[in-house]
Amino acid sequence: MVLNKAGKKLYISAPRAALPLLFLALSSMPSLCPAQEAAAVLSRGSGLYFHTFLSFQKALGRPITAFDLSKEKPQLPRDLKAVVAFGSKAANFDYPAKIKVIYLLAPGYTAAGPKGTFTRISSRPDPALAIDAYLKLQPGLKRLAVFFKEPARETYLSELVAAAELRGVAIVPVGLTSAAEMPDQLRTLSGKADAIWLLPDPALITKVSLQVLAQFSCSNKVPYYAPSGGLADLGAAGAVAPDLNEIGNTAASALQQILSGKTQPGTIYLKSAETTINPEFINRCGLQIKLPSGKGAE
Amino acid sequence: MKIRAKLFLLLVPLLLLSGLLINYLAGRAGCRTLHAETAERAGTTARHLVEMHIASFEAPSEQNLLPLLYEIATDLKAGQVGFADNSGTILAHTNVLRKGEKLSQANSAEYSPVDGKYQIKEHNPKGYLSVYTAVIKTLSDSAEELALREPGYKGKRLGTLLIDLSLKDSIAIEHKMARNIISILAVVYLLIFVAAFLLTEMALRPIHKLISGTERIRLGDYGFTIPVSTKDEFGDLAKSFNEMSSALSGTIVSKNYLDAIVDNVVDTLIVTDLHGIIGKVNKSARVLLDRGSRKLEGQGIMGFFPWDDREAGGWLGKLRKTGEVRDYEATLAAGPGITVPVLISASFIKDTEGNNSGIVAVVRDITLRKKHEAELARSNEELQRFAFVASHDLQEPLRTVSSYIQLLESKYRTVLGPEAERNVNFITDAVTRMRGLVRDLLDYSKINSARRLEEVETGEALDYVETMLRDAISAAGAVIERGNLPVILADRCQIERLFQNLLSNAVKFTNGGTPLIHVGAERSEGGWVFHVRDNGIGIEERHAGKLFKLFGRLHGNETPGAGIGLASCKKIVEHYGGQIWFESGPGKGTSFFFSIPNQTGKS
Repeated sequence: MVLNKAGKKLYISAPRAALPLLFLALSSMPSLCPAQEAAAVLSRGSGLYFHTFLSFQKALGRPITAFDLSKEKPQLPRDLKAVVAFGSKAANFDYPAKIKVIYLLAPGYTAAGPKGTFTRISSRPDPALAIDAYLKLQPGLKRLAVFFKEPARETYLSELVAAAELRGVAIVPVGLTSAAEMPDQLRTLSGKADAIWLLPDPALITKVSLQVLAQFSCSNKVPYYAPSGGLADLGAAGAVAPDLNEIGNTAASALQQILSGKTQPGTIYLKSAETTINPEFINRCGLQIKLPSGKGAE
Repeated sequence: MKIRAKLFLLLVPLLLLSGLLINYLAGRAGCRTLHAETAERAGTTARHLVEMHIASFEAPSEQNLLPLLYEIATDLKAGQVGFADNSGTILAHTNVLRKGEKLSQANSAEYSPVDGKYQIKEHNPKGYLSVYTAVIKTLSDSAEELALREPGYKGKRLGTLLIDLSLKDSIAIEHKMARNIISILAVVYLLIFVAAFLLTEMALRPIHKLISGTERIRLGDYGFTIPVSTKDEFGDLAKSFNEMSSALSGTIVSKNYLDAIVDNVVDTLIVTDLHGIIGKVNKSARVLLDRGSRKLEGQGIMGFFPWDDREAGGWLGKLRKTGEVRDYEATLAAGPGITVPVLISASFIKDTEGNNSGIVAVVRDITLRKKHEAELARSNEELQRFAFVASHDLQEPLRTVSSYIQLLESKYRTVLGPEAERNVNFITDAVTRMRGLVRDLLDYSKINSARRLEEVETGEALDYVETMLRDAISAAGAVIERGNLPVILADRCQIERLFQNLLSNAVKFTNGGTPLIHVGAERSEGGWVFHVRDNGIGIEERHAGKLFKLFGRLHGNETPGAGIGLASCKKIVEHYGGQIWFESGPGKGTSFFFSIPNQTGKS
């Protein structure tokens, strides 16, 4: 569990200033692989993409050729069998048909292609893990409103409903075509939900939409759970999201499976999820959240 | 000093001190809050402006930054605005001279925008409030990265913005705040003073009542009570006071009441200290001890008894020795040449711990009693003299009558016949009894206080009496036993007469058997108690009243005697200061007792 604004940060943070230099050094290195079977394509060679890439490479246990899509169009080797794409921009690159693509850190993106070509490392938590985590924070949780981008092109929502039903929680799906619909949907939702969860979809995440959700949560004493721990810091009761390092590790594992000739499912959920809470927000808004001891929780 | 004055004296410095403290602390707190608020507002506004022009700070150059800094200065009404990079070097400043200056600790947490750090340079209207705000690029490039942002992400710091804000407005507000605080304090303190005045008035009201009540009790109104109007501690105090006054009125009489009683006592009442110095006297004492204009208080009381036994300390000495004096007879020097016979009774006055604290003496004027006693004595003496003369002078005619009757009887017995002889016998017997009566009367009248005291062996006296009564004792067959019979100082004749009267009665009133008589004496406190005990007919209790009276006869004429013997015994014993009594019952015999106190001298 990661706590913010409490002075106790449990997550691993790389020295960001040194990352671009390290990336350049890695990308300019001659490949140690006997054959260029795999490569990494990053939407941007800095920030969280690069941070996750480092975790991925560490888990992989050997260097891998990486391309920064924000700077150049990658010249992929001809004998390449698989690509690990970091970010939706990288995932959306036009790869040759024979290449298997593992994409991650692309929460609002769903790749379209023949079955077995694309494998997504989900940026959303496993549905069962998510419901368990929310029940831990809110033992009396009965109705969870989930905000997602319409149209839903994946099965996550149905899996979430099934997991929630098993645990006695009803999912109230709230589909939005844009963030601008947020105020109207919240008005119709008044009194019908015990908590709100915004799924990590970039189309719904704007400065205003985040402020609207935070203010609604505070005013109506309905806990709002953000898509990520960083957004929970900006103003939310908390968040349940996969750890970026774990995402990198899972991507490395999936790559090794593909290179060894094994097929992978279309979507891989992580075996764990990280819960972040914002005690300052919870206390300020008077939310009924069960905080860890010593946090002034209810 | 009154309680209210004390309270105000206590309140004034406390309130002044607290006022100064409140003004200082409130001013200081307000000042800090104002500065922090100003700094925070300036920082927030500046960050907003910076956020809109973040690109200019990512590639900072004086040419790009100056227009922005001037815009910020205008918006914030700031005196000066500058920007320093993360090394603390000023890259651009509205005061262009400051470009290139180095800021110490510019990159430290001290200039964190969240905390609103600021510095005061010269806290006066010409001074500045320097606000340091970190310039941070917070938002990521894409919504995707924002959606996946890790917790604890703080963005990238680009440098520090320096904003110098004029303190003129801030100080004007501070002054206004200080004036407001002073005004509020003045009103509050005024209210406190008024409340204190009213509260003390309310609190002191029952105390005033108590004071008034105490004064009334001091003046002798012991039953005075004060109204109990509250149930607080003052109410309890008033209740206790009333209980106390009620108890006082039940147990203590007022001084005036006591003075009135003392002053109206007929006897003379004198109170002195333990040395006999007069402290207080009543009206009778002032009359009795009138010595002109001299004040009695303060004089020694023994000065009024110059003839009292000085060696023994007089009645005062006796009081000190015995603790009490009752009916002590003394002569009071009431004035020049004026003496008054008095009886003194005195005792000590005890204090609360039981110690002697003074003397109270009651002096009774017995002048009148002495006069009456003297008249009575003279009257008794004349009566005694008359009785003596009468009985003495009657002896001779009776003797003559008796002689001539006897002559007539012997000469004309045969001529007058038996009738006349019986009548002559009647006359002779009557004359004989009359002579005996007159003789007894004469003897009785001879008993007086004029005694010839000598050492009398009472055993010898009894021997003499037995000899005198020999015939009667023999006739009755009486047996006389004797116990311890002492030698006493007395008039022998009187002692013999005592024994004679009592012994003859014992022999005379027998119950038909052999009279057994016991005579003895026992020592008592201050003298001897003699007894004459017989086994005769005894005396009924109802005759006790007239037994010792003159002519108090209990039997008819068949029993000889005139009823003068026991009266004579009583008279003799009383002349010695003793007493005579008897113990008896019908058929139980009679025991006569008489006490003869030790005699101190001859009379």
